[in-house]
Amino acid sequence: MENVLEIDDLHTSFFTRHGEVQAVRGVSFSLAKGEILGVVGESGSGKSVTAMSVMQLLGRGGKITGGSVRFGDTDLVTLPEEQLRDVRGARISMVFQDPMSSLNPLITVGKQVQEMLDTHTQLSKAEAKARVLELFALVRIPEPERRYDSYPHEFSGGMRQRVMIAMALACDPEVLIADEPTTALDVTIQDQILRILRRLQAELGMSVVFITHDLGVVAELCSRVIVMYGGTIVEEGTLDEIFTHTAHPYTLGLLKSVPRIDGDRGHRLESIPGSPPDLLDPPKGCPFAARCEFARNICSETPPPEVRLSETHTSRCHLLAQAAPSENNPFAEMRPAHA
Amino acid sequence: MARYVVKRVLFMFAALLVIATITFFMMHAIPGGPFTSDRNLPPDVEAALRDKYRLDDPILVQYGNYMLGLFRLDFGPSFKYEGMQVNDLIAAGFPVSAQLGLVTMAFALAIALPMGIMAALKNGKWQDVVTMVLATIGVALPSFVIATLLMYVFSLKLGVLPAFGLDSPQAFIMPVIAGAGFALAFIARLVRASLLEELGRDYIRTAKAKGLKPSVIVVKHALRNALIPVLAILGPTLAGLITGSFVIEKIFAIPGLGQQFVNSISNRDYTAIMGVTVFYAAILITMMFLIDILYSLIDPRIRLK
Amino acid sequence: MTENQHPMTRSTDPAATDPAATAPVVTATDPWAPLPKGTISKEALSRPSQSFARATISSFLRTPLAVFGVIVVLLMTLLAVFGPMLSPHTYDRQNLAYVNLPPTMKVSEADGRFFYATQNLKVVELSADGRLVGAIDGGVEDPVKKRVNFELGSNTLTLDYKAKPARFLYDGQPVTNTQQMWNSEHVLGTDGLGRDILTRLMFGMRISLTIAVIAMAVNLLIGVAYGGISGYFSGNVDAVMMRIVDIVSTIPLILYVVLIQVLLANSGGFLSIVIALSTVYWVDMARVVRGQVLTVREQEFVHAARTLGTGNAKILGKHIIPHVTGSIVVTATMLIPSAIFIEAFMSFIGLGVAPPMASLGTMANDALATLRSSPYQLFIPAAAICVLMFAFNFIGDGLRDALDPKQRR
Repeated sequence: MENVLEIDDLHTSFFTRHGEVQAVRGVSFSLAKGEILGVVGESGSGKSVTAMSVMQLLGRGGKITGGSVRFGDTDLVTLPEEQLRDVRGARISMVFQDPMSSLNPLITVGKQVQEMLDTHTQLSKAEAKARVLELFALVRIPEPERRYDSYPHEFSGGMRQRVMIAMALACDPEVLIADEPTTALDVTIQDQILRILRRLQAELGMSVVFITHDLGVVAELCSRVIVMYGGTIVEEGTLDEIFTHTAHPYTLGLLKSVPRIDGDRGHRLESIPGSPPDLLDPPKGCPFAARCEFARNICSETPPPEVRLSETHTSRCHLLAQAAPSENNPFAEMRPAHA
Repeated sequence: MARYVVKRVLFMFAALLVIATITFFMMHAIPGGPFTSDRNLPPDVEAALRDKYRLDDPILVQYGNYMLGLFRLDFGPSFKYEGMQVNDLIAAGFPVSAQLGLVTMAFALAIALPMGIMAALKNGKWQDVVTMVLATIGVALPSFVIATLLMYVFSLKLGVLPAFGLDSPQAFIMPVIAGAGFALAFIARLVRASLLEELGRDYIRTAKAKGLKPSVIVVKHALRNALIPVLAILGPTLAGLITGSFVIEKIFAIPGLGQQFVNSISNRDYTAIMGVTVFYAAILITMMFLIDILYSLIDPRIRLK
Repeated sequence: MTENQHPMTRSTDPAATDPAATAPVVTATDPWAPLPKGTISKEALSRPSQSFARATISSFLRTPLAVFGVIVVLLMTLLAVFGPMLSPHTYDRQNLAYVNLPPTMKVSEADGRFFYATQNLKVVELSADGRLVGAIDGGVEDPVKKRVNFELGSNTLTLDYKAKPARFLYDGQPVTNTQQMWNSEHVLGTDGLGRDILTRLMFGMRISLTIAVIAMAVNLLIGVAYGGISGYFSGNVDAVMMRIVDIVSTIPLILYVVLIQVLLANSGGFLSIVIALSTVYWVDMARVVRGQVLTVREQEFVHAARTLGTGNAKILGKHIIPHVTGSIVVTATMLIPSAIFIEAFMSFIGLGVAPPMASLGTMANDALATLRSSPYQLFIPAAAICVLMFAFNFIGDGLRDALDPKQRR
């Protein structure tokens, strides 16, 4: 399978008054052509920062301190700003979490989408406008002609997010990064947006990185999942592997906290006690150790190595090691035999 | 939009009415009449004067007459200058003040806008620090301090600039700098803060994600939004500048409206004080009205309300 | 994906981190024993959480300019309060013999005596340590030669003002022995009526600061009460009250300060300026407080208090206003420099406190006439105004940043 995006050992930090916050600490993954990859984790897990690092939109104090982001033949991390601009929007585009604030309030939505085409294509004004109307129709904005001249405040949240998607798709990008695109929306609107994304992905065949904290959304949309915690990837696998062959206590905790309609009624919703680690001074062992119900002494001392469970499934947990004892070990059966 | 304008115009008149009323009753509450203070007039002369200015009418009749006069844009006769109308005093002073005020405003904007923008774009760098230091000085230094310092150095010590009047282009230099100081510093600070805030907004991130050039992002996206709060203070600032500063006009002996007002006070020329106050308020309110209209043209979010 | 298809472990950094590979590392504790709860306490939220007030204060104290501002204000307040008491001079005692003496004087030494010529051709004798011995009287002017002759016992002191600056001749011989001498009796010199400028400056600061603080306090009370009531009751009450504020804010306030002062002119400058400043500048405060109250009143604890039957006044005073203290403090701090500013401004156009009282503004105004000959008389009060303005502005900026959690990080 051809990979469009390969991220290797990415480190991103924010330099604040209090010191260096290591938001992403050695993240590696790849995105295959035409797949929808889900990135899951709670706030502060580094999932959004990873996405921003790809586009280098880190904002104040943010800096990539190591690693590479290979996109085709180029490493985006070392690419000069000018050439990066030709990638942004045209070849990799983004949809952000808050459609209320992500659009410029003083410019009509039509103009804002058209700006993308003006920047990256040679289309004439009329052609560009026609393309915008076509895009509006594609994301099912009713009455595109009339809506072209509307301002963002005249739109509902869901409609604004459609505008954002139309904007992101304007130049037929190879990769679409959607950073919690449905989080700020009502549940019914969420569903509409997800349908649009799924349909367009199928029609246009682009690769999608879908960032969310909602495992339900992941189950609906993605074929492969990355679970992030404390700035690192803790588990990676296909949808089925993550949901039914879970191999990390954090993923386990996440799954327990998702309500299921199909599950048995007696199933209790659980939350993971505690809060994410302080990335100003990251723990030297497993980042999840402090909240892990199965934690051993080793977990607080040594970072867990990546354990490969199948061609597509990896996890970073000490409990998967050969030496790990079996009692109180949910993964005892899954431990791979030594090579 | 039309409804909005009508509403604003009505509000304007209501405010003016209130201001004229307050001014009128305040002036008439002053103990002793205008002729008792510094002139020792023979009783019959004073009576004739009181009769001439209808000061013995009931206060409400006087008020009614005054307001009727205002509707005809007539501020009445001056108490101090025999045969002069307050309208004449304003007509003599206002053009001088307005001319100086417009030059001052243009100067302030020409310096403050680029300064504020540069400070925001170079946030934390030396350009920013210098701008903020200068702006703090400008906000904290009273205009009469700037004016007298300039006058001392350039007129009295070096003798390169005229100390009085507005007769030559060079004569504008000191009054303009001293008069612009506060507005300039304030606008520069506001532009910087406002632009910094806009640059941190999500839609700027969207614009970056679109692959736009930094110059396009700043000019087309951030700056337009950032200038909205600046616009809001432009109205009162411009109104204040074109109606003349008491201090600047006093120091540089400029025969503008500000000096007119100060003279009216020391002369106890009550009709002139009232007239200039109402005139000033009218200018201020008109400016604020114009800015409001401009505002609603720039910001689509306001139009609906 | 070059590795074989068997499930296997792959270490990113073999040997070192893979516990399976380095297996029995002899440590004191068993690596596989359950980790006792609470061993790792490094969680993002476990940093000792400071109370809002303490966080604000510590953030404020980390701003050097703001701390500097506080120190300057404290020092100037001390000077204003105690300075005039400690001074050997009073703010209103005139001494026409010592008019317009600058802080440093160029004195001419002749026969062991030190002479200084003022701008109006008076001669003052100083002692060697800069104290004023007395004015030399009895000068006989010779307008033809442009000289003034003084008899000093058997000697003659002549002041020659043909060329500027004037120079001395002692018994017909030019005095060449000149030196710059500090005015140790009047450290900042004297004004046009021979009054001690340092004493007047300290007294003027007292007046200016008093006016500013009273004006701030009154505006604070009116503004907080007005804004609080408007925001708390919202609805029609709010609409009417805010319309009034809209109208008041279109009134050119400075003109109204002037009008009020003209109106109250007979009650003395000090009172009238206090009243004028106190009654006019509450509008900003009212707006700020109203905006804040509008948001706070919708919060749960206010609903809770209302449910418990707490009275409106108590809810507003005890539950809501304390929550908006931050913005009130910032706005109030900024009111002080504007009051000082406007007081100086009013005094400068001749509407200040009545003489012989002094405020910083009246001192500057009085000095304007003699700017050419005695610029120090203007620069000293002007500098004091500037220092106060800077100090309060720094404090205000520091407070605003400290109270803004976004800035604190």
